[in-house]
Amino acid sequence: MNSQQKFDHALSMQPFAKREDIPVFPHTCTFAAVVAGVTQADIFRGNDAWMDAYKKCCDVVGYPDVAFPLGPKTVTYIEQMKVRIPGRELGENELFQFIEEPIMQESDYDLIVEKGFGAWQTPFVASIQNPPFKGPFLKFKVLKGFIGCGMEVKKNKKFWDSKNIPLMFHSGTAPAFDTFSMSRGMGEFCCDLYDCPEKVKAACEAATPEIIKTGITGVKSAGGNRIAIFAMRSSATFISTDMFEEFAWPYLKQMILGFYEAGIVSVVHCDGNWLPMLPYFKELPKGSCIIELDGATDIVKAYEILKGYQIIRGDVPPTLMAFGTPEEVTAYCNKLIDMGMEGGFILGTGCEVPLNCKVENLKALIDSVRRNP
Amino acid sequence: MSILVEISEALQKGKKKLVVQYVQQALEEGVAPQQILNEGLLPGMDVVGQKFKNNEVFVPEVLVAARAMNAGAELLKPLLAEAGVGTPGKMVLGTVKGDLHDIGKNLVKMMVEGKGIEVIDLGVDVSAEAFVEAAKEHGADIIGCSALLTTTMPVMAEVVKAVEAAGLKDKVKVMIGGAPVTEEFCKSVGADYYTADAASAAMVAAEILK
Repeated sequence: MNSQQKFDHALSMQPFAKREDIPVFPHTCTFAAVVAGVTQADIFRGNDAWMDAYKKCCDVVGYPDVAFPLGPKTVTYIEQMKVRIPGRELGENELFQFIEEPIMQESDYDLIVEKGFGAWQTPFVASIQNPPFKGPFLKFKVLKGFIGCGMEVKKNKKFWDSKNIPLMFHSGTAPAFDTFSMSRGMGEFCCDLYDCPEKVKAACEAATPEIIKTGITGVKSAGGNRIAIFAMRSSATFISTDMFEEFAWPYLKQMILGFYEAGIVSVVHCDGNWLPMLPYFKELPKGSCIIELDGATDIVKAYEILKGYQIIRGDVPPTLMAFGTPEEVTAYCNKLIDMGMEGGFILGTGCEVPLNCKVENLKALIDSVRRNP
Repeated sequence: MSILVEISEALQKGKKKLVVQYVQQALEEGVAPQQILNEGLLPGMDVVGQKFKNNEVFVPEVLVAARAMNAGAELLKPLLAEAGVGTPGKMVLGTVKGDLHDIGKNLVKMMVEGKGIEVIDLGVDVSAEAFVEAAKEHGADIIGCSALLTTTMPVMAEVVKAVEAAGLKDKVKVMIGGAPVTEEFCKSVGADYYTADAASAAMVAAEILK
């Protein structure tokens, strides 16, 4: 099987005949710079600089079966959070970091209900840029960033298509619940869930159709069929299943179903502990989601719950990648491979490969599916 | 139900206005401020901490409970100071140098304060030297270090070394935590304590100060 066939097979959730048929996807968006011998600031200069580093990294450690679609500059734009960038607010070789500030106000829930999600999102995204977007044509300036993202993915896709390597996703979005949590700030948002729950729900309800529509446009314009959903605040690391049911799941489910109807698979980025939330994903059409786990969810239990329902990707922990040995990484991967042979599994890192990962550990991860133990 | 139990229960439900109302009522009834703190507010936060540790309540419940506790404690602060009532100890807390994440650190702060311990919050991006300087300045008993990035975890080793170099090893305990941090890592850098969550951090801090 080539990489595309392996990925398609994983999505079909049929059992794998051989361990090397399991696709491997180490998330090396920023770590690529380390292997390529350039700085984090270098890969923030633009898509071409990032792709050069990514290709060099693949030449050294081996090509993945699934590729990451976007450079870090674009990732930070589409995640719609205030960010500190290497070479700008941070040192040349530091990892970018999101800054959580209570920029969104409580009154913005009403604004979203009355005037729509875009009426809030446009000035918000403009305000968190450095320097902030100002002046006329604000909507166009904000939109330009998102269009640029689509063009970038389309361009990168051409390269990966030539190698029969699929992209993990073709555009990205976040549920209203998570967007509000990050834009209001965790503290303020949690108080809102108690002080004005109906306002939060009304805003989620008003925002979701627009989020779906924009997401579909983004994916289609990149010529793809998968969308990343960054739902990092909807896990049991933060909220109870009661709150999940009330505030998060209805709208996340609506998004996944909306994308599914448009022929799009949702790649749900599930940082944190999602174990109590995973049974809800059985309500969705089979194969409508790829669930990305980061090591905080017990992946063996997760696989038991979702086997035959949704695809799971994960979850070699960053701590193991940074401080473990190649033998330890191989042993961890072997456990995952044994587990995933029944199908619907993509071997990967938990979230992103950390900048202090040992290169030999990354090689061990990639080789683990390709070499018999 | 006694007014102190009412305070505790209102706090557990995150009812800020009720907590303030009950604390005022208790003061008017002549209950000593220290008794309100020790038998009303702190036991309430203790229950929340225990439930958080057991995954019975989650971050929003902790945040609103802490908000309620702080509102009640604000009323007591001047009275406690007037009566010369101190805290069981002090913790200097921060996210280590190079790391700007503060959600975990803020949760630890709330939980530790829920044990009546004074927390000096140094914020994020805190160097080993700054931890030690603050510990000296405030006479802290504990230094608490948080990290979310594996790349910043080695700063915790620097903190341990800086504490030793400053001759504070016997006076100040170093506690570490954060999503990628492990017990094994704690041992490897020679920190005194690792805790896996904010509630455990508070419990360990309280034990240290006993």
